[in-house]
Amino acid sequence: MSNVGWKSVFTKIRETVLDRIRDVNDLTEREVVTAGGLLERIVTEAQRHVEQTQTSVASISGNASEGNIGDVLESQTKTVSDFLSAVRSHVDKQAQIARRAHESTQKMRRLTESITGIAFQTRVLSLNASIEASRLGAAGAGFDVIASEMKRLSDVVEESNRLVSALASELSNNMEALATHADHVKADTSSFGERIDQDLHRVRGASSFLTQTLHAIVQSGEHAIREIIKSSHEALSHLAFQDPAAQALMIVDRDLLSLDESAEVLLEGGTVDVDSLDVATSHAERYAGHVAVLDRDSDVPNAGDVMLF
Amino acid sequence: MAKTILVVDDSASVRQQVRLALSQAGFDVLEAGDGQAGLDQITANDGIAAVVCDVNMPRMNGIEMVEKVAGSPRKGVPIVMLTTEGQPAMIQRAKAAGAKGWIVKPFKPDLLVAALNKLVA
Repeated sequence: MSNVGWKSVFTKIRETVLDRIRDVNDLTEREVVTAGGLLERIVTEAQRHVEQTQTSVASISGNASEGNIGDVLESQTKTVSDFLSAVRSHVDKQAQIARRAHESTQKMRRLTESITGIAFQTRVLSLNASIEASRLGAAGAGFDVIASEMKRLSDVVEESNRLVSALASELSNNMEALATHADHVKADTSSFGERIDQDLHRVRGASSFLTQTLHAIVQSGEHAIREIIKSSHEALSHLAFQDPAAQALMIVDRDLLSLDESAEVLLEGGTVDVDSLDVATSHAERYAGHVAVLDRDSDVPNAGDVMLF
Repeated sequence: MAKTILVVDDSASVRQQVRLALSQAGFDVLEAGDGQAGLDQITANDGIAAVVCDVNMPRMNGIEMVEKVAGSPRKGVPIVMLTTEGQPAMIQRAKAAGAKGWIVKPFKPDLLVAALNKLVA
């Protein structure tokens, strides 16, 4: 094969290899971008979920302006407790008033008994006056009128006194019943207050437990999601091989060109110094203005290294 | 308000990975596929706080882009090179052109974010 034939074959091989490399690079980049897109969606969805759960927790726990469940229960407990205290106080005063009224009616009954005695004495006095008027005859006629009026007055007083006594007795009984009823209301109110306190205490406990449980569930979920995000980032970092791999493959093209140039020199009877092979120019054709500076003997930074100037 | 970072790289996968790392850190991210497109965006958008730029790209390479930015009204925008290259002479050339940093691919997202936070602070 002539040098010209060899050159065309080698150029064809090089172009074919370069096409294959580009195909591989395009394919791997497409797949990496697809996989990266899926991971990005996982991360985005996971973060959205974290934000939603944080919002839910804030809603459950309450915020500064609205207060949380515990605060609301505490407030309700105080409201109920204050109300029951007020009711007990009012009922207590009601019982005291009823008892004082009962005592007053007892005094009234004693007073009516005293009045009954006076009425009796008045009636005796009128009877005596009537007897004395009869004994005096015509001279005692005026005296007899007075005796009759005294008797009528005595009857009226006795009747009125009987009515007052009956009313006082009824009032006394009612006041006593009212005082007893007030005592029952006070006792029931105290009992109710204690039960409400106990129930609200249990509700507060349950609420606190519920909130803590929800926090624990959310924190556990959040931890799991953060692990998913972290794993997704790690998975994504493993996809970072594509660009360095693609560029490394492109160097094959550069090396093939160097081989081509060396072979041409050798076929023309020349010699090639292996150590002086220049492998820079082909890469420059692909990348405009490529900075073709190779200094393999110098220290170079490692992958991931960051230098700030 | 989120700072805006421009990512200039001809690799869609690298742009994607950088975008995800930076958006996770609270940055807004713009993208360009080569040095010329990157230069156009830097020139047109005065809201860009920093640039992450590859070196080897079609049309205009990263170091040329850094040189052109350095000669423009946007010369104050910090540019960090993100590349597979690591030759000291090339790094020196980028530094002389006005680049503020050099990161070798594959990059570590947290270190990239830390470097940008330092530059845009």
